[in-house]
Amino acid sequence: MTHAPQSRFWTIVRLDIRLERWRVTAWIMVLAAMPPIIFRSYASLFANSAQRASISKAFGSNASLTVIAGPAHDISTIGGLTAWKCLMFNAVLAAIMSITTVVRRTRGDEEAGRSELLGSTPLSPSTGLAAGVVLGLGASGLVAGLSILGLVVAGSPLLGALGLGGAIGGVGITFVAVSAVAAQVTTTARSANSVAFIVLGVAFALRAVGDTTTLHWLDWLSPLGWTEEISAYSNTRLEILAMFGAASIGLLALAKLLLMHRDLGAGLLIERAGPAAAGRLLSSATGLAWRLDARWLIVWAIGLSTFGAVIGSVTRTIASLGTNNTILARILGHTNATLTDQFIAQMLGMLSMLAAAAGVQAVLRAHGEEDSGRAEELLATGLSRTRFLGSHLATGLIGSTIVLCTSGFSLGLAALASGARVTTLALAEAIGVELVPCLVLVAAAAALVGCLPRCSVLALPLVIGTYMLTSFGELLRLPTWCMDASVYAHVPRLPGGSADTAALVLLGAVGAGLAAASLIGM
Amino acid sequence: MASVLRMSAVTKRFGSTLALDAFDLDVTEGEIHGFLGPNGAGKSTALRMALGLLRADGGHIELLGGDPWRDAPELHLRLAYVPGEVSLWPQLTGGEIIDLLGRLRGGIDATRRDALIEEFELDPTRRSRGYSKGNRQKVALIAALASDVELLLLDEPTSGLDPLMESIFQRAMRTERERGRTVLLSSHMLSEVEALCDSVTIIRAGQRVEHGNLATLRHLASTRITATVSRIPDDLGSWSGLTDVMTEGSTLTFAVGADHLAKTMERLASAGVTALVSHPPSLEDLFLRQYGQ
Repeated sequence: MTHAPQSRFWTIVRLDIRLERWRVTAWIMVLAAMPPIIFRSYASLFANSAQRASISKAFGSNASLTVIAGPAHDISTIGGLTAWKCLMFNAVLAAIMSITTVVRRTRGDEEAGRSELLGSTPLSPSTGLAAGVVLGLGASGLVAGLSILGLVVAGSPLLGALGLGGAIGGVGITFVAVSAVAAQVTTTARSANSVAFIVLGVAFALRAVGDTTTLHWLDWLSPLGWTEEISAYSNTRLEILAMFGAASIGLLALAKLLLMHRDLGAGLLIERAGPAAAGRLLSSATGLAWRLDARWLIVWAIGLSTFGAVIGSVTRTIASLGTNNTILARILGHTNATLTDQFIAQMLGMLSMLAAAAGVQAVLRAHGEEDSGRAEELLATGLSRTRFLGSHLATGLIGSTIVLCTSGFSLGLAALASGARVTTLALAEAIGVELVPCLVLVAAAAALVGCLPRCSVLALPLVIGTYMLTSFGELLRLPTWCMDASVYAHVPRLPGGSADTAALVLLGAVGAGLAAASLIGM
Repeated sequence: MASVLRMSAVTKRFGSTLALDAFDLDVTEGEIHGFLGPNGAGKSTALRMALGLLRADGGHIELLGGDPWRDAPELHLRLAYVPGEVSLWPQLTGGEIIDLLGRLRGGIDATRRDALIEEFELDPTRRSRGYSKGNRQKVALIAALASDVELLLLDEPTSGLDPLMESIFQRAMRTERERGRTVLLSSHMLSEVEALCDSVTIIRAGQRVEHGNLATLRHLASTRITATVSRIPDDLGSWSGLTDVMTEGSTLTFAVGADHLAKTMERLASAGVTALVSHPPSLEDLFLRQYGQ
């Protein structure tokens, strides 16, 4: 009997692995494959050092890329270029993998009531949390291990591979611990996810500001900042990896402490009592969809607006740091643009993608409602299937518009306030243009829900993939037809470029077609 | 008989609402104990506290001789629980979940498992995503009944079962009693409790308002009597202990408490009773007495 509690613990770990096997495998494969593939392609693309020197000069001084990817440490080597290209991106993805997996298997199971069933069996009360954490740590560990292995096989020096793979895995591990705490604080999986994502957003913003201003010490407050300090391919400092471990141990201890002092199903944040009768909003399907999603859309809008304001306020400093770079401008299809314009256009593109993600999430709720059986109750009333999906599509479109407009104007107005040369009119035009691909992506998600409900899970990867095609495709020298698959490839770069109305109208038509298809398919 | 579960003056608050208010519960070894109360009275909260899933704000709980909050894993080896809302892993099959829960409880009796699956007519190969509420309950029930444990805590286990399954459940409960297991059965189906239970506890607004042996409780409540007499007595209004009195021709109907029954019989005899029907108090009468109408 002495070994029994342990074998029961591993039974739950095996259960969690069984429940997550496909999702986690997909995450691990994508994350582990990216660094070696990028390393290989760079090794063949930039074989001689002269090419590397020119690319190094082109990218090293670009501020918008520094905001997104971090400062370019010694990108005159293949390893340095690879690390710069995929470190921040993979680290953020590893964090998202950890957050979604750990929250689903801890607070998610608890919210659904499955933990109550398990809680009545001879498991220690912390088993559910511990098993979810073990699964998350294992996934991040595998990502790190396989990335290192892949990089070494691809020809990377061992030390650099250890630094790059370790940093990505380290962020994954840290966010396993962050999610473990978030799952104790809130009572629903959705709000636990939000708390963890807000932490991720803050970590990203801290290091973005730290990298682009003189407040460099801010990097040390962010796990994403630590990844840069490791500087995998020049003066590698592997000892910084220990910070991920220390932070994780501290956070996991806190999560355990919170768990042991709370009731099953409870959190630190107490639910307020709600209204006894429905307000006027709750008289239609759209009203219901809006009521269900408004909170989250507001969280997105506030979060991204804050981020936009932070980035906007450093625009002028950034623009004055760099030199006008024609190679880069050509690569970005953005000739005749000032650095300020380039920077704002890049940042708006990123906000557009994130606003699309917010709207897609709202549209995916329609699928969630169907899956959980709640849609049956609605469709048994006078509501048609078309109106049901239409209500969620409308909420997604309006939500994305609000999120992009608020965050875009926060960025632009903060840039104006910092003294950057940009007009409100140009800004409004640029936001209007970025809105088109954003809404097309939301309509595409609705088309998946309406016509191919089994493929609904692909909606968010589609948004991220589309954005990646445009922002990384050029560097990977992907063929044009492949790059053209992204809606962002057809959008003029504003401010600073010229608005190609025909392309926008065409895109709008594609979006309307997708929306119509979704409603008919339903 | 030893006490299997004892809750004394247990209090539990959720924010500003008082879910249990100095609540007492005593479950004796070997009995089927009915736990009655309407929705929201605190039945599920009391069960979760007995399991150590929630911590008491005040009072004392003793489960199988231990403290459920402190010793949960060891104590849970000796019991099985069926929650009121059974939520399962949608991608696992019913059979997989039964085995998983059984193994976690320290082993499952495979023969009994198969027999129960057959009796309850559950398809164990279907993924639980497709199960109805009743079928999800069957999964949790079969896992509980097939486990080798001393105590079963069942929270409205039949609320999703059809009448046919309900009778199979009652048969299974009687088997459990013969095997010497203790059952705490929370329910709001009075007929079920009446058919199965040795003793009951009735809870209202977080407090125990009635408890004890079912036979004793019946004794305390009123018997309903319909009598045909040769003449309606003039002093009927002054007979003590009568309630709900109605007369129709020479037939009178009333309810009378046990302590006034003998005196009333004498008076009926002198009134020339020719026919008499007496209904013993039902659990419903007990229940409604606590809750009013």
